[in-house]
Amino acid sequence: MSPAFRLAVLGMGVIGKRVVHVVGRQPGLELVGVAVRSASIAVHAQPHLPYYTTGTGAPALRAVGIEPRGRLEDLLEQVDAVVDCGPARSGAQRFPHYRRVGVRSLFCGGERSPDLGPLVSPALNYQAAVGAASLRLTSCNSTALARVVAALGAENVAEVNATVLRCGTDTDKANKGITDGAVVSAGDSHHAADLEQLVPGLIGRSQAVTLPMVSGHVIQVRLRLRRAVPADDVRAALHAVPRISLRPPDEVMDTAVIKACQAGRGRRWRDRYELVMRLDPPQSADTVTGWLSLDNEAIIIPELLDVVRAFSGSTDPAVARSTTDDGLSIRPRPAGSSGW
Amino acid sequence: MRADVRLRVNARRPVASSLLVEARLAGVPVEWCDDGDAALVVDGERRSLALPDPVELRDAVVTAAVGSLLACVDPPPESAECVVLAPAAGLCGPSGQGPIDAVVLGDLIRRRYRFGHASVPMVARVVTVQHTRCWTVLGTAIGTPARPPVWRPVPPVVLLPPVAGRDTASATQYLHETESAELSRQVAVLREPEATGDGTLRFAAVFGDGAYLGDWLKDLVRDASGVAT
Repeated sequence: MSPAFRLAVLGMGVIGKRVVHVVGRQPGLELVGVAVRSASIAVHAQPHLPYYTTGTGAPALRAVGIEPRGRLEDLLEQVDAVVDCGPARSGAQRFPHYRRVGVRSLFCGGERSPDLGPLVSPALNYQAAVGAASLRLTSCNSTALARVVAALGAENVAEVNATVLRCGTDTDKANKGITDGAVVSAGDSHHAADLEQLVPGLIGRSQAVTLPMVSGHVIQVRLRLRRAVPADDVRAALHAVPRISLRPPDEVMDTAVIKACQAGRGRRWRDRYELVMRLDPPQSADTVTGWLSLDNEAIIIPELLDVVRAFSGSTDPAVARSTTDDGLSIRPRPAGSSGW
Repeated sequence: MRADVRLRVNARRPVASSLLVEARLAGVPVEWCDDGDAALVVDGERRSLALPDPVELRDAVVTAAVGSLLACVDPPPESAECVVLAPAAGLCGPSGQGPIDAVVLGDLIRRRYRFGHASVPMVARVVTVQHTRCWTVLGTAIGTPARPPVWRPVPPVVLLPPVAGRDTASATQYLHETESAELSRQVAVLREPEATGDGTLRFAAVFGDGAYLGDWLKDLVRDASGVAT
């Protein structure tokens, strides 16, 4: 039996705590430690994890009865790779350290700098992860769009036009966010540029609107295909992907209801890894339009595990994907099934 | 032979969220439906369900939670006054309708609790707000300076750590993180209550509606299946 692939996780925020939760439950992976800088809610609630500190975090942990096992430097000596779930766009500060100690790194914070490695969405460019020393995982919305493009076949998609309606804040925060109103960002959002990086030759357009909600992001998407495709074939292609839950075209999409009904599935934090998608009636044979609803806090987890498997030497994306889906209980859905 | 009992849930009804949690806790299988009301399916036969009356549910949830909190006050107070922030639509979870950027003043709830020989009258003003995570109560237990009250928490009341007591987002997130019990089963105090020199003790706490819905569901399933759950 091959030794387990040893991982460190930096950060116990919205993404970090989820990574910590799933890594320890996946075959072939071992969580060695978690590096944190403070005793956040998640740290406080899980005091028995193997914590290491960054910066001056040790006194804060000890104040709540947690004895850290060492510092980040000590943790990095024991692992094969680090999953960096630090604050958004802060990875560039830590990357030189990872590189210096020779630890492979996977950045989750919507990093923009190409110095941190290629942008990866495993359904589109899995092989970019196999030999990479460092890479950046796509953000939640880009992950959702990438799933749709991959399901239809990247070679079949000429153009993607997306309007992203995103949550004003995360579910664990009350002191930031828009209380009332809609904020339309200036210029294109990064999502189009992400897709163009992942699929050379694809044309992308995207805008973002921030709204006072926490029930998950919503995307209105329009894809122009390179050739006419029957609507039934489009539906079949999307339905064939277990990570996409295709809904009837006449169904009301209520994101608060979708989120609340995850309570019955038994997943930690009521996470939803599946992308809910509702197609609009086809306007032309070479256009696909519809709506996407995603759990912005959990949707990247399946793709993250795929990439970790690439790091650990799994060169077959289909095997990595099925292993991940089995581990996260992502199952194919019978046609016409109700519930999300 | 024990009947096969399943809960049929309309996912779009506001009560679906709490019902789902309670059904899972009770081991009752759930069937989804996209229209119509909730129903019990007993040995394949569908029986319509009358969901709890919203006013009845509100009164029961508030009465139980405040009673649990006052039970932690020693000696029992002479009286208690509360302001309760009710979630939109009166239920935790998705709200079919509710105030937007406004608060709605509701009726007073008057109750009298008995703790040993003490009889404690309580008045609560319910205010519906644009919020769906939980119910929130801000209360005052009124005692006498001669016998200042002391806070002694007993289950289902728990005291949250300071990191989780700043607001309802932190509080509900912490309860989800610990996973030791669903929010619906606890009354979580945001800060350690302290008595002031005039004999009053002020408290702030959050709670859910699942305990009421869970008991309601258990009674239904028991009656339908013919055995105790």
